[in-house]
Amino acid sequence: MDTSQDADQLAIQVYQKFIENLSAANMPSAMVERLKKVLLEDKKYTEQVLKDALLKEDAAL
Amino acid sequence: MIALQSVSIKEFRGIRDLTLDFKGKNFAICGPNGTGKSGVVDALEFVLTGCVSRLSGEGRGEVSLKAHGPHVDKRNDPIKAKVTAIVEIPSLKKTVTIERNLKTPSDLKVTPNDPDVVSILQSVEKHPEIVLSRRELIRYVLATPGKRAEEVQALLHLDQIEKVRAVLQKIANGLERQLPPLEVSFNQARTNLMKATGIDELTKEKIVVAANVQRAILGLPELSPIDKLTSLKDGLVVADQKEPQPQRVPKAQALTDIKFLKAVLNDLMASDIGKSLESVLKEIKVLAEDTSLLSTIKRDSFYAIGLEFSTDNACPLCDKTWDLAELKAHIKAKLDHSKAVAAKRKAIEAQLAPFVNILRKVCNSIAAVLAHAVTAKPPISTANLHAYLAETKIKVDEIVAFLPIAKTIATLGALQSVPQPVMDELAAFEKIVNALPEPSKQDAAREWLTLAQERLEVMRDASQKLSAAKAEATKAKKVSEIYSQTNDAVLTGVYSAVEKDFESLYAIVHHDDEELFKAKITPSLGKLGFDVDFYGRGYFPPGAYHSEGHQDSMGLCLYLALMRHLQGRSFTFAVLDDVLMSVDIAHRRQVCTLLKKHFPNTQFVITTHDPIWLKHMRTEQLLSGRGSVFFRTWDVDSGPYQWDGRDVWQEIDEYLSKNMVREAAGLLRHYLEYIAGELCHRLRARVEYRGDAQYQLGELMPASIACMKKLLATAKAAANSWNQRDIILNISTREESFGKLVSASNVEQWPINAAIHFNSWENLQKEDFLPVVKAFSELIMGFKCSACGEFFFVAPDRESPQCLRCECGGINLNLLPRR
Repeated sequence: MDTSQDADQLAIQVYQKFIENLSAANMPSAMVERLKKVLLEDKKYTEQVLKDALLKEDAAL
Repeated sequence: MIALQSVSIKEFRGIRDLTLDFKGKNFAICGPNGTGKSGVVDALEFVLTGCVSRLSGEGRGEVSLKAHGPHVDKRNDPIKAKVTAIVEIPSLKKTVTIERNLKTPSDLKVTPNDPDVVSILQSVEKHPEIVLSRRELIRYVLATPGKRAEEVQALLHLDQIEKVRAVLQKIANGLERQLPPLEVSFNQARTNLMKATGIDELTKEKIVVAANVQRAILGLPELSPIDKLTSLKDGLVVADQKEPQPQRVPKAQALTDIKFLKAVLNDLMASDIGKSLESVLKEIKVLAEDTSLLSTIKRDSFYAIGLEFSTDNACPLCDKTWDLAELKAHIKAKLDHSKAVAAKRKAIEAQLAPFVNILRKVCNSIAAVLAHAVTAKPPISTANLHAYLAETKIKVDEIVAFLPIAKTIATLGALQSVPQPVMDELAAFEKIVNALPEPSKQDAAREWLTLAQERLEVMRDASQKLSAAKAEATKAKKVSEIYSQTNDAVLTGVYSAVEKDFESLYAIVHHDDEELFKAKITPSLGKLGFDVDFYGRGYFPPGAYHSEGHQDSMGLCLYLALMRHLQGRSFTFAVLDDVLMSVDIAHRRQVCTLLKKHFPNTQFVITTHDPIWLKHMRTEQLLSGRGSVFFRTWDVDSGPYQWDGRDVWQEIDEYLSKNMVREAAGLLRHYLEYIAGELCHRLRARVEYRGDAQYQLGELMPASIACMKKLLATAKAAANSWNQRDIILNISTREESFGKLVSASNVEQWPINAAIHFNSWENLQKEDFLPVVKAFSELIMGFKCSACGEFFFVAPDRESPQCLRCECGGINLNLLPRR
């Protein structure tokens, strides 16, 4: 068993469930998509990246 | 994942040159404090992970691996400080040699360098938690829930999940912090509008009613209910055909604003503000006097940024080469240290918030008055008011910035002082406004509508900014909450499994007193609650009622449960560094049972300063015959000295070659005390019991010899009963040769002949002492198997003795006669 993979899988499980729960809570879909990309595809977790994902749309308005 | 066959340590920590042969089995390192046990632990951690946690992390100050890892005499030659290990990888059926030196700690040399081997070793490298010291063990048990969550999540490699939670919470908190100044601006704008319109309650209806009264005076059409685009002065220029009038001070509104500013300034100078200010100033001054705390505050954000930018094997600031993991741990340790300081700063900032608010109110009020003053004819001097406004704005910025702290202290100290020229200027302006002629009804209506519209727009803008900020803050808060809830829900499953395993492991160790033990491990919002049942009386923190010994057991069991969950079948190696210091004898035995039965595939390297605990590990068969080393002493030139026969005889020879009989005699006596105790233990010899366990050589050596003789006699009698002629002959030969060895040693003469007693050795001449050394060297060999070199022992170690044997089975003498 590759242990670090286990921790990675658990992290992915948390992120996926988080995205599902955001949608279920009717959070803005564009923001949910941005967070999904950041956490599950880009795998970037810095404050600036997450803040952009949260607020980018609103800032543009 | 791995099993350690051996380790060779050179010029590392307190060790000059040491090789330990683990043979892939459990191994114990015993010795008094300061004999080099921890050096071995550090070497194992270093060769497997490239780090030494004792030399990095929280509270390590200026100590570092590179500077302090090499032996003190090789600190300028770190390439000489190296650890080599022979490692077996069962899953690949391969045995490899790995090596690291302290010049390039992150560079692991692997022979043979197969990719599959490297992959497994890289996986091991990610797990510094294979080394558990008592210090770390206590962290899991007695830490605060927040700290425990950090420790356990780091152990489970869940720190990335926690980092996202912390970042989302930080964003939400940051957005929340933006609201108060926006709320102040909005409230001030509302107040200004109310003052300008003279209405006591700001509703759309009341504004419309008040505006329509003024509009009627000017013959303007009535406004219907207003919306966000309505202008109160709509049509004013078109309907009011008069030539544009020069702008004048709106007397009524100006007087209201002046009155309000005076009230705000009075509030600022009030004594209750002074008392609160004094109290917070006292706290800030304490902080300022602690240069270390202050320096930490200053560096806090610098470190946080540094950690973010540490992505390569070099310092992001000076480009000095670092091992990345070491660099991150180094910065993280500094950040950890500053956490408490950051909390202190946050608490003080919360106390400063009311002062910031009142200063903002002062700024808004001055701005409102100055807006009137600018239209005064003839112009009046407002230089002091302008200067005070600028000064107050700077004060707000300084208090919010907090640093430099001396500046903040000075600003707060002068917070209540309003310069007299400001008050004078305000009074002069009030006098001028009071002297203004009353405007005509139409002029007053015009002024009312113009100013009301102006302030309505300011309020609308403030409202829009506040609403947008509130929406962002609410959204970020909700996202953060959803993340925490999700995190807790997923981790609850993980911790539930760990909790059950922990309960069962602890109940094994404490089956005598806490067989029905229960625990609760509960994650919540970045914290990890850990409560344990106390004899059915309820759940409490582990440190509340349980003894230190119980807490040590809990720490070990929690660690084992977490490791089993984390690594599953890959949990094949762990170093337990003096982790059971406070656990009593009976429960240590249970720990042996636990490790042996429940972790049969894990190789444990255990250090202890307690020889009794070492014996327990042997008698419980957690350790095999050669599965331990006993460090007797240490010195800076040579490192640890073992109670190893070969080393001792060589050392005695060296003393004698220099004619140092006293030193040689001392060493021989100490070695014989150690080895005679070991022999008595192995042969189950009878010795007069001493509660303080301080046995003399004169008690132990004769007892071990007598016991050996008796065992040989018993074995011969048993062989005779079974009619085993060959064995009888063999034992007789052994009895005869052993008897000669004993006679040569004169041990049996000790009680009756003081001249040959061990107390007299140090007074002998070298020529007289050499035969003594030879006699004892040969006598000790008489207790060993010539094939495997191991001492004989009686099996089983309790109940009726059944056989006298050695580790390899080359000697296995039956002690039970035919019935």
